[in-house]
Amino acid sequence: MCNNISILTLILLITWIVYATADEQSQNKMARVGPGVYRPLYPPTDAEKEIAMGAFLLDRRPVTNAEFLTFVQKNPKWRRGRISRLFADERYLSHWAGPTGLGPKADPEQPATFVSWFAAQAYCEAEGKRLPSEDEWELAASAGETKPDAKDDPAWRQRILEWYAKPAGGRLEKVGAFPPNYWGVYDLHGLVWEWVLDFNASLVSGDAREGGDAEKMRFCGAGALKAADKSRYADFMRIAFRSSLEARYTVGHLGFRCARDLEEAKNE
Amino acid sequence: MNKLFLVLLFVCLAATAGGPVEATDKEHEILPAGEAYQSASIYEGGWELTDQDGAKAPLDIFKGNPVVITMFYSSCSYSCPLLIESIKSKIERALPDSIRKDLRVLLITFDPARDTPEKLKRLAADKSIDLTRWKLLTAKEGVVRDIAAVLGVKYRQVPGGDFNHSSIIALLNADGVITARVDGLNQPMDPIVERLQVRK
Repeated sequence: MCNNISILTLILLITWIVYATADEQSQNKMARVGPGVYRPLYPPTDAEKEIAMGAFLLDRRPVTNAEFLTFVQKNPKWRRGRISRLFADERYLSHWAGPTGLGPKADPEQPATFVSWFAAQAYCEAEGKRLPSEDEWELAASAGETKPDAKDDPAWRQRILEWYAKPAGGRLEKVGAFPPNYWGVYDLHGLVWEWVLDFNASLVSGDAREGGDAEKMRFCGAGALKAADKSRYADFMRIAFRSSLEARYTVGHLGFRCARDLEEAKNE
Repeated sequence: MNKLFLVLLFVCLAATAGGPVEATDKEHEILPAGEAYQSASIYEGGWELTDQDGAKAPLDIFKGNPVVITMFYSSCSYSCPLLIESIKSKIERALPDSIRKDLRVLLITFDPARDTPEKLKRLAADKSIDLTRWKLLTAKEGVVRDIAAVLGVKYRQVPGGDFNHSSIIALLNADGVITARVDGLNQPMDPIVERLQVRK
């Protein structure tokens, strides 16, 4: 009788240690971002020129090929070849050697690219997380290395624009290759574009000639969206890029990372 | 004026310069209304919603019939009444009886918090909607987001509770594949009407 109780206690203790350690690891993989004030480039309404945001958790690094591989191994319906065309286009994971093999063109530590919004969501949900909202992502991305908000720093803005102006074709860096920002988050600039939860909230018309009534006819309530600060070209490019996306698209320089509410993490 | 030109030129050059351009490949341009939007059925999502009577309604509830599908919300004062009216007048009334009787219509709300089944039922009555062929649906936020994503609908909630959203009306064939799609309120519904008439 005593022996059985001891063994049970030991098992429970080990389970608890494993769980607590795993949870701690998952906490180390995420950084606490905010609270802070985010100033959208295109405030959709006057009330949204400055958005006060509470703190939240954000993955320190984009999801890697290795991590995504583990996910599709456990979740066959998200494998290349099996995934519905509803959820991803024909280029899904096309850089991998096979549906469950990375191969020489996909380093395990590179950010996972050629993934659709649906696949990115599914990955995050499997982790008990979600995609970050655009506001969350942009708040985190406003930080420089030493300041939470570096948007008024011309040198910082210039470095980002230089990355956008670089022609594609070079090999993708591995995640975490460069120093993190103020929040301890890596690679928000300079590596890949990233999916956000509400990528389809950007009501920017693709045709610059549209405006006024034409825009009212396409976008209920859009009105005239005026850029808050014309020097924020990088923000503009990200918004324009997101507006061009559809949820099933997979692109070679588009990856993702996950986020989580602070409250949920505390309740675990 | 010169400075502005140079600035615009720089932005254009930067935008054409490389990796970020991949998403603007020709393959990914939105096809004009009238051609197949994508080859897969949206019913593959298996999404569960609730109709105006409070009954469970899977998205494929009208599988087997052609379906006109759009998104709206009942507190919307400008475009949503126009959307509903467009469906009635530019699509339904443009069809012969024999085709109209087979057509089904799905209206999905952006606003599950305020658009309860009761509210949807009242709206249907206000707009004299034929509930033998139309359904007004509500669902959890995540489902609404997923459905907007497959339909290519853009939307965002603004302070105060209203929604800014694009006005898209799509036609699904009997299998749930989008075969026509009209973007904007002032667009002709011909692509949808013609596609429906071709079937017979």
